[in-house]
Amino acid sequence: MTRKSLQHMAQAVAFVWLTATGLVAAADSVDSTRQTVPAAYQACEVCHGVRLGGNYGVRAPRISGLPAWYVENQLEGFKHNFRGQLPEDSAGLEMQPIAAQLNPGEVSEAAAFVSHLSSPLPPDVFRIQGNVQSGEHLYTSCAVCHGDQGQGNPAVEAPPLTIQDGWYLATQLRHFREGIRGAVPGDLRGAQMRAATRVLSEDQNIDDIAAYLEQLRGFRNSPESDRPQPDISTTRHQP
Amino acid sequence: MKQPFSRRDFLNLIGAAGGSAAVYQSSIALGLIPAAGALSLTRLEPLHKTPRRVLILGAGISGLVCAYELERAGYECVVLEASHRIGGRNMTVRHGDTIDELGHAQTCHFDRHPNLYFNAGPARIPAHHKLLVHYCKTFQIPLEVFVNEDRNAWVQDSNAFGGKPVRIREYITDARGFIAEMLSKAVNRDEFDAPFSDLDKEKLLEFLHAFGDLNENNLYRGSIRAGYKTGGMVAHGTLKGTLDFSEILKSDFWRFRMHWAEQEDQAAPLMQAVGGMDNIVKGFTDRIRSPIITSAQVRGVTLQNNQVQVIYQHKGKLHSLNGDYCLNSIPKHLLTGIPNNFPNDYIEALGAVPRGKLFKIAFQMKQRFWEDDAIYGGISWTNQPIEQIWYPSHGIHSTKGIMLGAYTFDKKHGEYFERLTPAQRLEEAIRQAEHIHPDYRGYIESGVSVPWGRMNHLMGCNALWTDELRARYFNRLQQPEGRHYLIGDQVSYHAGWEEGAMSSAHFALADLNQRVQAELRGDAIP
Repeated sequence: MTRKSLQHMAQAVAFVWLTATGLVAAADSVDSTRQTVPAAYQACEVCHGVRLGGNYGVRAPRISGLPAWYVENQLEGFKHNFRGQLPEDSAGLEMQPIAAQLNPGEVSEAAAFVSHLSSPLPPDVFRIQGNVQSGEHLYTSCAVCHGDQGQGNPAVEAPPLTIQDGWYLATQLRHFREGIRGAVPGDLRGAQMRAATRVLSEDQNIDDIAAYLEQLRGFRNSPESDRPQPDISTTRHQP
Repeated sequence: MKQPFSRRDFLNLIGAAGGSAAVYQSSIALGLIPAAGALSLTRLEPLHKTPRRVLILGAGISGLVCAYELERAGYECVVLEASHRIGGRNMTVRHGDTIDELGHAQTCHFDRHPNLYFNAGPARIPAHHKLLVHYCKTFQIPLEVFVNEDRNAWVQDSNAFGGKPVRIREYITDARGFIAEMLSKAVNRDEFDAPFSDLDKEKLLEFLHAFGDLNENNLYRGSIRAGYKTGGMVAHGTLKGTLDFSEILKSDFWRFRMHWAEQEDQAAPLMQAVGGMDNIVKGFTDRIRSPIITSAQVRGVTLQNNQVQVIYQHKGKLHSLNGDYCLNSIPKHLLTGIPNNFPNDYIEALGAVPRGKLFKIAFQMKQRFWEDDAIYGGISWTNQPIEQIWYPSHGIHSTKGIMLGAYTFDKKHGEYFERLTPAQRLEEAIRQAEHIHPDYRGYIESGVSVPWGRMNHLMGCNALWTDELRARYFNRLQQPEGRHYLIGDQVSYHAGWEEGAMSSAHFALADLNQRVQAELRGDAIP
């Protein structure tokens, strides 16, 4: 990467930082697309969706607004083959070669870029089915590290859980529990999380927690969301 | 608000009243669903002076068909393509080409020579793919015969014949011979539920005799179909001994590969475009006058009153376009990541169907060693992850050739290769092919791999519809949503085929044509 393109990117990051309305701000779905991303990050949008808002279609998580330290940890984790090595983790396998080619400077820049980006909340079509009350109860043990509102805690390197979608959180919990994630020697953070998932004996427990966290976050179209609703008149093709 | 009443509206009404069978029958009567084998070309009625703009997303085969047909009828079209190249999965790789795989961009180092190309996407044209053949004929794209089955090629299976390759000719001949012999014994012993008449029995025995090339005692003792062991020209020919039938059964070859060339789309005659399948793409781009904007990544699709708005990024700037209609071939698994205001059931359908991960490798061989082995085209099959090796049908007896070193159908095999680096993939493909051609490595000059599941702006190949998914979502996606039509092979019964893409395009065009004509007549919706 040339010095000029780095400068260009830094400017773009600064621009996004200035215009971003907050880490998880729910921008109008159309207005939020009225911002470009630097060319170097357009490839990220292919899988992670426009403004890295996530794409269930290829099981790529919503990553916009994740804290930079966490994104950096995960990119490093992919680089060190902590993630994205096993056939059971096909989405991780798709990510791994991308992370592997980033040098340390690019990892930091990418993490900063991702953390300063906002994206619209996803539609609630792909929301996970689970028992929110049960999830809230089960979450109390998670809250010790991840915070009672799922806000995360950088002091213990616990990421916020109210950015990604429930289907993604549930997949990762299963991967931790089954040793698909957090089982590679040297992955200390992963090992810690893996140990924490041992109490989740049933799949339904996992879905319940994910459903609770999704409710904490809200959806673009869901009535319980206190986020502003986009004002878009739609034409339905009706006979 | 005035909205036209289209044929599709009519079908929706019938569907509500009489179910899908009623829709199907009516569709045939209205000419929307063509009878199998018929050319289902939509003739768009000319617009004359009424302007209509159509936004076409994706410059693959379906998008190109739409642009070509619409502009000829007087529509204004804009085609947006996310990739740097036009053609979608119709991709021919030659000297110097970039393979835009996410994370592993490769450059093709084949020699610069007209014969030395690799069809990374579609490679076969069945004669009954009427739309594709129609465009090839209309554009005068030179075609040549594509050899899809070569009985001199090999079947290699680690579970049979000690892992040694066997000629397909021998395998099929012996398998048929043994089956015919067993059946003829059963006929002679009257081991059937319903007794045959003596005449039927005689005919059936003759049939089996011919089917399996049995001897005068209706036993199979080898056949010239498997090739002679020695002689046959100026000396008496000696038959080869037969393969062990239990070894034949141990191999997986009989599950579908043995019957490969029996399939509707795989049986002779097949063709290919001379010089590379992307000459089909060129046939369209040479004629299309509408702008085709490459490196234009769509960032939003909004259905508005009587319009569709598309926002895209091009050369670092945002652009917004409005059209009267939008024909969208963006892979549906990527469309779910692009902000839109589609209704929830439409989004759910877009996200429901898994994506295929077909994978191909091609090698430039410095010598056409397979021709010394009497192989001229066709496929050798193996139960190893590479699954197939193809020999080129063109450039016979020239010096070099491009061989297909792997073509995986099994998603597991595709993902296995995807997670290797390009260099590791080639090495692995060589190692596996050495079980068929021991000297393979020595002929290789360069190689490339194309994992469709990792290709930029595609991240997948054929949509993996199941009967259950089709029953639930196919009609929803085939129907337009407002003025937005999803198109491409992804909304056809021929995922992964150009004919599927073209059929889907014409299906959408037929509906659009009806709606626009109704608009122009000023028809009101009931």
